[in-house]
Amino acid sequence: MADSNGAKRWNSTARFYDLLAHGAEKRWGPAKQALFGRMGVDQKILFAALGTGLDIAFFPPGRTIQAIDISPGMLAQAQSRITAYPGAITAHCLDITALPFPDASFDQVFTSCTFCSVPDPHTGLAELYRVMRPGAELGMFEHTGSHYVPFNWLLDMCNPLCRHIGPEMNRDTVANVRKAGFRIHSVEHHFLDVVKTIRALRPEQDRG
Amino acid sequence: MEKRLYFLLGDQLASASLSALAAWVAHLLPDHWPMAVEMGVGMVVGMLAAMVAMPPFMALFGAMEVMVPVMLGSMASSMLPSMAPHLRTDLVALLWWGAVCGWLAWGLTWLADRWIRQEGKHG
Repeated sequence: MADSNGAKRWNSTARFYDLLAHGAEKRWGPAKQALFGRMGVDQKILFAALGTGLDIAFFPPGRTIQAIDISPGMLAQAQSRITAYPGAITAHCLDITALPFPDASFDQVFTSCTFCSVPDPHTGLAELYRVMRPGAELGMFEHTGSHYVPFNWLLDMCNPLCRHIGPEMNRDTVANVRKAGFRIHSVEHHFLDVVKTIRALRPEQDRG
Repeated sequence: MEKRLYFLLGDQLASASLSALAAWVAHLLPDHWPMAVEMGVGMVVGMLAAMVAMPPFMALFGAMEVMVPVMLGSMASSMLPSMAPHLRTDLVALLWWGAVCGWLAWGLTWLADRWIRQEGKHG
């Protein structure tokens, strides 16, 4: 089921998104650079969600990347960055919960603040699992809920407001990744246990 | 753990100033309610005011997810007018103590961040 509400919401944000995201990009730049630096040469790479393309600055040069985003407005803003990238990025306006790619298409999948906003994260992760080949690597830069009082209470309290304007603040994305069948390789925290890099693998042997 | 001065100072500025704002907004509420009601309503209204005023700080220092100290500080500071009624008539002291709440919330968050990240707690 296409997330038309999500697309509308992000379309309306597209024009001023870069301004609002300036601090976050500066803050998380080193962590994103370390994660996206894992993009391999000659690997089939999927990137979700591209947004206005701010993350392209952290991609290593010379890679061939399929990038998706739910919002045509955001992708329109990303176009100049896509063109300027010294490699090949092909952008698709797609819902992560209904990808048109065949099974086992990708060697590496990366996400950037994606699963806070996908309405059905379980279906989205199942789709990523499907399009990754066995043994493929999933690299995620995400913010999640916290396991600690009072931070978990605060994130739960502000979630009803935040979900109307943008992301969910209290998702347990690491648990969701596990539930989708991935094997967690590592979790690196960047702020409390809220902002984190998650590295996981699609096991060589499929789920029963 | 964040070590860059720009973000260390920015986080403290955001937390202190928005917590002071939350205390000021809470002091505008009526003062004839029972104290518990005043505290509860003040907390909600103060936190909402801080969240509404967050975007400029988010643009400079990071998104909503790093505004945890602001939420914590504004929650505490917005209960000040009901817990210490004399602050209702002393605006400078109210703003000062509001900022102190914000700064303490930042300190608590900073220590928690250090502990969680050093221990590699929780996936």
